[in-house]
Amino acid sequence: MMQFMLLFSRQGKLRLQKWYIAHPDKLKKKITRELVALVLSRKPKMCSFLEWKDLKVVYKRYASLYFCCAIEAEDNELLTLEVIHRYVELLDKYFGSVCELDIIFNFEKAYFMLDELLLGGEVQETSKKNVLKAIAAQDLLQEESEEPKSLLEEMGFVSGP
Amino acid sequence: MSDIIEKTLASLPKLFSDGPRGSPGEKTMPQKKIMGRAFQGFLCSVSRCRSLTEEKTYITHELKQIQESLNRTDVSQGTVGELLFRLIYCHLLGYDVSFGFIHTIKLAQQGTGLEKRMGYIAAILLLHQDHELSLLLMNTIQKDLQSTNILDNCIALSAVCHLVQSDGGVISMMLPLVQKKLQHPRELVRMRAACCILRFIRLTPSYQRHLQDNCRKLLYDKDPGVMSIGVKIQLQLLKSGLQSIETLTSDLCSILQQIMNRSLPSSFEYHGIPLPWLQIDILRALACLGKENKKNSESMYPLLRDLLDKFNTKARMSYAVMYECIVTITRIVPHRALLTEASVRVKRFIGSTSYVLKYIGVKALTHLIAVSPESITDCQMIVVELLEDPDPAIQSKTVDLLFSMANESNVKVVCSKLIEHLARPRKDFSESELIDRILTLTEKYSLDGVWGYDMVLTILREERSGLPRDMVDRVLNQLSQVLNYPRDTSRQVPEAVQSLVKKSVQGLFQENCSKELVKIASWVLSECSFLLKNMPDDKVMSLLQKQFLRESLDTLTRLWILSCVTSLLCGGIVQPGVVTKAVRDMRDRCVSFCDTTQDYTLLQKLLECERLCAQPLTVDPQGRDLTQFDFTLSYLDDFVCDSLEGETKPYIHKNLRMSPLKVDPLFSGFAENAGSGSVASDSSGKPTKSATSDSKNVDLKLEGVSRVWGEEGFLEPDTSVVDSHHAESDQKQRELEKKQELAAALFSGFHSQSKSDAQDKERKDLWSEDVPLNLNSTSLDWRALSAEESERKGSSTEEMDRQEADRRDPGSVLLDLSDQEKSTEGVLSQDPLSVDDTEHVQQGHEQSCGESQDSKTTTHQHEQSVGLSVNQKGGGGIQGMNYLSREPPPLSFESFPEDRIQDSSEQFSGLYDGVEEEEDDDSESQGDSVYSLSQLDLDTVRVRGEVRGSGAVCDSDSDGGSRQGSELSLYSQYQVLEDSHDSEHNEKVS
Repeated sequence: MMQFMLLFSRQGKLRLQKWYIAHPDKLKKKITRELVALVLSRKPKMCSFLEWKDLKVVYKRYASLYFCCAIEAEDNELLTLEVIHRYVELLDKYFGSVCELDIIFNFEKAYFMLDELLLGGEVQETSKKNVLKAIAAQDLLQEESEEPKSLLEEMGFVSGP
Repeated sequence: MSDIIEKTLASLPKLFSDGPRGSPGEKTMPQKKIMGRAFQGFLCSVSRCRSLTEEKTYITHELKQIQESLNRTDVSQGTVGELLFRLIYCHLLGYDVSFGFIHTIKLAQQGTGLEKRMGYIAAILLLHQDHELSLLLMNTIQKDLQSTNILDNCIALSAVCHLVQSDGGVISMMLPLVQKKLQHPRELVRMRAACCILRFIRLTPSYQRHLQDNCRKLLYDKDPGVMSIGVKIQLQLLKSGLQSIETLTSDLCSILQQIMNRSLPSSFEYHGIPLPWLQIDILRALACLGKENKKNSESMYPLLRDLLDKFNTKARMSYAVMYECIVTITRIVPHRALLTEASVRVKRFIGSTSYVLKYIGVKALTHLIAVSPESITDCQMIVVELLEDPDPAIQSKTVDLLFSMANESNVKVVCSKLIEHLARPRKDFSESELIDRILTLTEKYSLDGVWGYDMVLTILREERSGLPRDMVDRVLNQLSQVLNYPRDTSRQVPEAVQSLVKKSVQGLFQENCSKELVKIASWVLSECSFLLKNMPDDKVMSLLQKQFLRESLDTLTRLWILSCVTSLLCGGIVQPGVVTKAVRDMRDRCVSFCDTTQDYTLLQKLLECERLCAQPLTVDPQGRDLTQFDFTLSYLDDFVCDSLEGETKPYIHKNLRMSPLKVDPLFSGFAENAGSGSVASDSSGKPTKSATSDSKNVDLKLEGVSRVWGEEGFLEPDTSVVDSHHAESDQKQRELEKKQELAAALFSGFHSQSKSDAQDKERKDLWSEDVPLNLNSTSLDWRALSAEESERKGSSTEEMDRQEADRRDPGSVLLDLSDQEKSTEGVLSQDPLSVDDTEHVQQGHEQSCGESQDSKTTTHQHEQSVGLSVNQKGGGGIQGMNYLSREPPPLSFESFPEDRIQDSSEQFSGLYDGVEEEEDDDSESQGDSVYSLSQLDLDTVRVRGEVRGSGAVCDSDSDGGSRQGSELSLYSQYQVLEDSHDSEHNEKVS
């Protein structure tokens, strides 16, 4: 069972966190801090697995984002790596070509998607199509009147068309 | 693809810092956002903050505003949702947002549609199962579980999964509702309900029995997703040891077979691999089922073999499945041929250039070595190299491997490697484990005791924080076995005991050894005090005194030293005068350095020592029995009589005393006397040996002792020999030699073993013979186990054929089926394993086909022949292979020459045993013109066609008959296509 999943940037800024076990906030913060420092200090040539306390940590870097999962001792590390990859694929498919900004500004979507993929620390839906279908169904819930705004426009980087 | 992402992402930080000048690129956002402009503005302002303090001021300000808005009554639900997501973001940044918790629950309760969903998501993220507020949500969850809206159901079930706590009646309250949802027509809801059941079983194992029926039904669900969760639940039940259903093995096997045949929808494929998550869960469950269960294990063998052969080594996911398959093979009742296969795969893992695969390889090897120690011989050098790997994660895994491969002959080298590893910088928690392992090894393989003691001394050479708590006891236990030699004056003291004492003295010479070492060494010295006769007494005393006065020692350790001093004194090893001087000195220093808190225990012990020096009590060198203890304390009689004649009162027992008595002089003196008495009897009780007979044997040379100590190592003699031999060769060669030397030492135990194994194998392979590969036990079809007994024989030969063909053509591993997933495939770097050996097999394949086919069609053929008939894209005669993927059409029993079938089935079962045997059989069978087995699958099919033609047994009727059972199967809809192809083919062949 997965214990938690963290997404953080190369600068060590947390972008997403999802906990499948109950910890008080203080402990969560401590774990996050230690783990982020540990993973960031790893060299690129090293393998993606770590033993940390009684957990195993599996991490993978995609561009500037680190995806980091903690699993139990008897879990399969390679499989967890593929869960991370599947999540990235889903994000990629949904956002077009995903980048860190997409996750910052649409973190609620990222959470929705993670919830579809994993439930209670176990991989729930293994079919990519079904996950995307479920997300599409949620999108239909949204009000139609809301106009899609380009992210960059929002930030003032470009003037609107 | 990945390059583009890489570039886009790489330019982001620049985009942030450069602001408007950075080139934005053509990024489109097709999907709608839930949040409005204000929310985006908030995120922008947070990310624009230059410093931490700036961010803090902004967010505290923002949080205050959010709190105010949330408390207002006139805000719309949509706004509340947005505010809650701001809170989630602040929470992510590490700020306290506990004031908003109640609003998440409120929104989940009052909102509808999207707002409700937002409320739930916020609650799931901000609360956890042990949070008191999560109880408030339970009522809402119950209501939403009963709703007709599917999305409401789904989100409520997610909330159940995250927020229901283990204690209290919450689970029992939710359980009926969740169970009802297991019957929901939509698989989306069923799947979540199944997840909840899994969660419940984890949280409260007592529900397992109650839920068993539900769990069983999930296994037969028609949606593969729900079935996967069902398998997960079964796995959980198996792990807790409660599951005891007989048919579970065959059910799981048939599911696995179906996955391998790709009879499940292709939308569940992951990079060309069908349902890898489910495969892994099944493999784990099989490992539990086959453990020490021969019958179950036997039914898995063919399937596992098939699985190992089918791996498409291009996809990373297949490595995960392969690893799990290897682990399963090592867990179940061992099968020689499978283990050999597995060791070949493991070798590829370990030899890979990818660190990830190396790590997994070492793990797999650790599992493998437990069952088949000879499998490691081929990867010696790689293992030795991995020990020096720069990656600490791989190093620590290799240490695990070393530990599990230790045996009588290599344990010394293994231990020295472990100790080398101990010297590297590491975290505390693994240090303790490592020391524990070394101790276990020394206990398990205590060759002469001295070596184990050496290890212990090396570990304790410096102060360590992570020592196991029972370490001293364990070491003393072990040492007492060595010291427990027959005490006989005529015989010499064993070599081992002498060296133990020598090493203890050497150990005490170290200034900064750990306190555990001091304890152990002083225990050894007091046990074998007679061996110290030759040492000058002032030297021994100054040694102990120096250790005693070390500032870092605690009282307990000092007491150990003092008891050592006492026993030396009583054994007559040191002169009382020397001891008195030393003890006085110690007492003075003791008082001086612990002036604030007087250590009375220590002082008392020191005083006792001094007393003992004043009235030296020599111990009978032959030692006295415990029975000689004077329990009546008769030696005190005079003293007591004298005192009673004086003014002192007689002793009254504590319970009889009415009021606390003043401590009178009698008892203060009594304490001291009794103390020294006990010391004396303590040492006299120890069987010591006459010193005169030993004096010749013991010569402790104390000059240069520390030098010997420092350079002691196990590899030294070896390496020096190597160095002298290759003095002229270059450095690299020397290193290689060193490694080979090490490898030879490390794997010494395995060589002989493997040799004898090989001999065994030549003579007769017992394992594979007594385990017939009965293929009937694994049905090819989903629960269609109804093939008639009379047809068994015929179909089994065909299945053998098929298996044979599969196994012989590993060319299928080259197949790239991940086309559909290609869009994202590039994101991960691929590390294909080498597949050299498969290529020539494929060549043979092409030749045997005797047609001008390019390699693509060849692989394609194979794909169909092994039953990968999902895509159905092949054309022409190649389709003829198709029926092999199904349960083979039965051969009529009467019309087929019986002896022939038997003959062939024997051949095939023989063939299946091992590669070496296979070739022999091949040559034999070539004489048998009908079953020319050296041909590959296409030919085999033709041959079979001939057989059928001559027997005139193959008609579509019997074909259909055998499948009647499968019509009922749940996955029959996926097989319709294949059926039609089958009949097509049958016509052609016949």
